[in-house]
Amino acid sequence: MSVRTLRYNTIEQHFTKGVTASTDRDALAFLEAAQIYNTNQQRAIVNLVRSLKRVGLWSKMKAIYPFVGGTATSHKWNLKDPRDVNAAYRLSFTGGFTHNSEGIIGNGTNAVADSFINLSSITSGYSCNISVYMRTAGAGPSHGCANALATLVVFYPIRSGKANSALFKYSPFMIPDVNTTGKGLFAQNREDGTTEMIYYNGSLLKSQALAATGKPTFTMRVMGFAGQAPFTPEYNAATMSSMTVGDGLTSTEQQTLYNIIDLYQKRLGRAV
Amino acid sequence: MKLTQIPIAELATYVGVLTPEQAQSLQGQTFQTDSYFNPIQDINDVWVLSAEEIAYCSNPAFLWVKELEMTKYEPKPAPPLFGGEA
Repeated sequence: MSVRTLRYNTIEQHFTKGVTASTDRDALAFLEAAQIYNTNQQRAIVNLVRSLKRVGLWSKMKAIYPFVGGTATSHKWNLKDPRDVNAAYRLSFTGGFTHNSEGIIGNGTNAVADSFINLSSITSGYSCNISVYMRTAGAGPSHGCANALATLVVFYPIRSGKANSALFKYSPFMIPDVNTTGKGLFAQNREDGTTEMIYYNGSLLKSQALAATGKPTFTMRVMGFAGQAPFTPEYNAATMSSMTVGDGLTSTEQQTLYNIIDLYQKRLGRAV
Repeated sequence: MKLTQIPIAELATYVGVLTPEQAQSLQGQTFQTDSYFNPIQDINDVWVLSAEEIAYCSNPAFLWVKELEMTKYEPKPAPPLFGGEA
């Protein structure tokens, strides 16, 4: 019996019969790393992985943070690559985060996580999709990074009462015409360097011709923003229940992603 | 005022005051498993630590943070870089 098989058998001992019968190797690797032994949480992760694979979204994702388990030690893992190294985009939490069954909660003062994701190296062209599932609203950015103005990536689920986005460019920001609650699944999206989009709960909130001007090598921060001068750090006091980073998605794929993420959150009893 | 003297509802508005040397000693250190200290400077360039880091600290080497003097947090004003509209 190989070491790899032994590893999986170890976590399988904690599964109920129903889940074990349909285990997915990627799901198992994550559950073992995050030490998720709660049956409902195990099922939610297995179903999340299988659903993403079934519709072809799994291969488009570079990082998936399911924020399950309720502690920093269970929340730090990237579902796509659950190794405890920076190269696997495992999160590093700094500052006053609170972790619970709803996800990660910033403090708006100094809590921010480094994903070690270099968008310049993981994206092809300007194809990119970054989604965040916000359980509560907060005034600060959900994520962001920049080396210089031209490479800015930042998203505010709420800013002056409206969503606010920059993806691979600086001014002008994209501000949707319709206000949101700041809660639910938001996604910044580009399929190319010409048009930027914001999706909210699977539906297009705004699409605008805004030329991309550069990609940051500064690594992506979660629940806040950080970048090289002249930027200063920003933080968010909201609750985030999941995050994904991957290739740009079509409108159909965005709706599908929402359906899958929403079902995942419902299975964990934390959908909004 | 110490952390335990602050009403829970107001905890998020308070920070612990650090000396520069204390702030330096916390860099790269964990206050609990997989959670790192992140001292920052307030509007007066005083080093401070969030109430959450102090409250959640279980690292025996840094339990002294629970004795820090607490003060209302006043952040540095952010430059208006993010104000442009499409």
